[in-house]
Amino acid sequence: MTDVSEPLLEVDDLEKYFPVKSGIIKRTSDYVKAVDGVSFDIERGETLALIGESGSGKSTVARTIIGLTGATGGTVRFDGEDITNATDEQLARLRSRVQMVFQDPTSSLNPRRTIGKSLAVPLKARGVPKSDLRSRVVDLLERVELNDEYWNKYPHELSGGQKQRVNIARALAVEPELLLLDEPTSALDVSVQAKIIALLEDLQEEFGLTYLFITHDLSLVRNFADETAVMYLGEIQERGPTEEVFQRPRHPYSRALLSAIPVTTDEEEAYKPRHEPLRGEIPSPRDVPSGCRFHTRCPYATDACSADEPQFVAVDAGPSVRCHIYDEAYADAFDDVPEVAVAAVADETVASNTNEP
Amino acid sequence: MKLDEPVAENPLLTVEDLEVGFESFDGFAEVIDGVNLSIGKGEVVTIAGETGCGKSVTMKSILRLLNQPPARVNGEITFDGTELLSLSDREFERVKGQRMSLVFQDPMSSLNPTFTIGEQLTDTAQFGGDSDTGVVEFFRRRFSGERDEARERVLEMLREVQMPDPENIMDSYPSQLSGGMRQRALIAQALLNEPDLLIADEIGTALDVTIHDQILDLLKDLIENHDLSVLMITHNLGVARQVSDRVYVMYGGRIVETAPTDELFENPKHPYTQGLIASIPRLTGDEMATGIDGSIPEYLDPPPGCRFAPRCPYATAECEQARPEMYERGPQTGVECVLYDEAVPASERPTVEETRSHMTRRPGKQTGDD
Repeated sequence: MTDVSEPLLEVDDLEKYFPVKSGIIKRTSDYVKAVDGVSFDIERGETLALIGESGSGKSTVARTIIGLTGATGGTVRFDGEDITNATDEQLARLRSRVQMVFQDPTSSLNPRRTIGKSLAVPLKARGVPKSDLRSRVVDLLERVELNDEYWNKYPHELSGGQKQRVNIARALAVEPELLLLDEPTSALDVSVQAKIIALLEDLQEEFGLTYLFITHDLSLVRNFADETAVMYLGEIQERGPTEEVFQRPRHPYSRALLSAIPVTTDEEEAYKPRHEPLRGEIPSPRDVPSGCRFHTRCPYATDACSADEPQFVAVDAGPSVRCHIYDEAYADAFDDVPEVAVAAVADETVASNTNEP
Repeated sequence: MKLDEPVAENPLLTVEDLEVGFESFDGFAEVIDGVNLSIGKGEVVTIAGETGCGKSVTMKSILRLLNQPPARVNGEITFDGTELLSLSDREFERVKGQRMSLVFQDPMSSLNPTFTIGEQLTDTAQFGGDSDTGVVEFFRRRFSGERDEARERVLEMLREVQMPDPENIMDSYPSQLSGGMRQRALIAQALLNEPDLLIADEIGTALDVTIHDQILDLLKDLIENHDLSVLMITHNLGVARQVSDRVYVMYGGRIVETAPTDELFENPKHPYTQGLIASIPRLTGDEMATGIDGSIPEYLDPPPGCRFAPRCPYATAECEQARPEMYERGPQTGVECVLYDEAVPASERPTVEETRSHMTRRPGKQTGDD
């Protein structure tokens, strides 16, 4: 282990462009910019939530980190080591330290293998002797609160929640430090989702795991993540401590996302930003809008938004926002600054003293 | 009491003692076990519950979408004075085609990929509820001025569901449309023949939050403008709260609780409803329960008494023996739980907070039987 103060995972300006080929000789005519300049760090033992709609590139980020697709630009550093476009040898080492849990618990288990066999695979790869396999698998099952009866069961005999537990167990088999959780609960019912989240929290506490948690469900993130990054069309639009992002969402997109969640209590209703339904749908990443990528759907967009691409602006207490509204250089462009934003900023000056140092 | 009549004063649809079972190789699965529900004219009613609780089976038996056998449907379903289960297929087809519409859950697979949106929707407008017109009549309708009129009506409806660029969409194939647009096309299709009852199965759940939000807003407007009676089916309690007037909570093929929406969310009574509400992650960051232990009942061999008893933190021996009655707890409110018997003092009835604490406690290793 290197210096403890160093973040476990550093992603810097990551880019993943998928070429679009056309014509008879399959010449590259265009690119799908799935991930376009994404940067974030995750500290050891912390959780970063990456949220956004489908097509925003959040899963591609995870797949690029673990080497399932190569990056076309930028760097990924894991524990100080540059693992961008890692070699096979690097990957072999890396995958015993970084593991991924996929969204669909059913299709990520081999239907012809018993749970015991599925869990034995990563153990064998690590060189666990055959005589120990069974007891190690039972340990793993226990860790995810399943008993040893599951050893001989096939995936179709299990419920969605149990399958997701098995997937988590399989990821834990190699004793990883970083888990990439790609929508681990979105295929599950709420009462089961709650149990999986509780399990993930327990495991994090017990083994000091670091999580990159990818989801489209914002309400899950509130209790679970230390930091939150909101992605839209391959770019991070707002990034900061979860508390900040939820209490005073600044980017119009974060606000729209928060206000769109159907909630179950009046308290939450009052807590949501003013309801501003977004116009239209997420544009194709092949044809990214000019300037600010969100301007085609933003209720506050001005001419400046379609002309210049906004840069990250750090708003007082920490979160960085990619929006001209918070950029002093563009202050004149928004004579009609949205009330919510004003309220949020005014609120901010009062509350900034109470923020944790 | 039996909570079938009092719920809606002027019911458009009532379902009484609905029992649906399926014959299978392993035996007979009693899925729906005595469901009573009603929908008043102009009322928006939601059936909420988790996967496998029988929501869709209930909906399908109302619309006769279940093959019999293997399904066995018993009970009484009355639509505007007509008993549906005794109708012949042809008579039922007419009632269904002209007065009821269904919007399916999956906007991706509910449209025919080989026809343009315009063709599909115009066909619905011309032939909805009229499946066997005969060859001559078919060609007359298909190739006369009626076709153009129907096309106009479709265009108008597409505008009403705020479809962007409707003229172009008419000539597009479903694969050229985004999920949100397909969902709009399906809603337009469902409303073309001005149904009295709209059944919406998990509408918009397959879509992104912001698009889902747009669709719900649209649905609310349409319900108001067309004075629709709606039966919504959802697993998302937030959606139920946002859209509906009244909610039925289903568990294990039975309705365990029903109440007007505000009442249900402010004061949930059944331990299952409480557990479900406590398990929903909160935007405010309040502590969330760790879910309900156990899993939904095995329908081949369901628990003899209350079907929630094996998972209920308050279950007693009594619960395991006999099915509880539906106790009335105020107007349009009923709970199927022994704790709500008149004889039980109010202090013994659990609050959401108690249920939450029961479900948040983690006594060592729990079982992963979810």
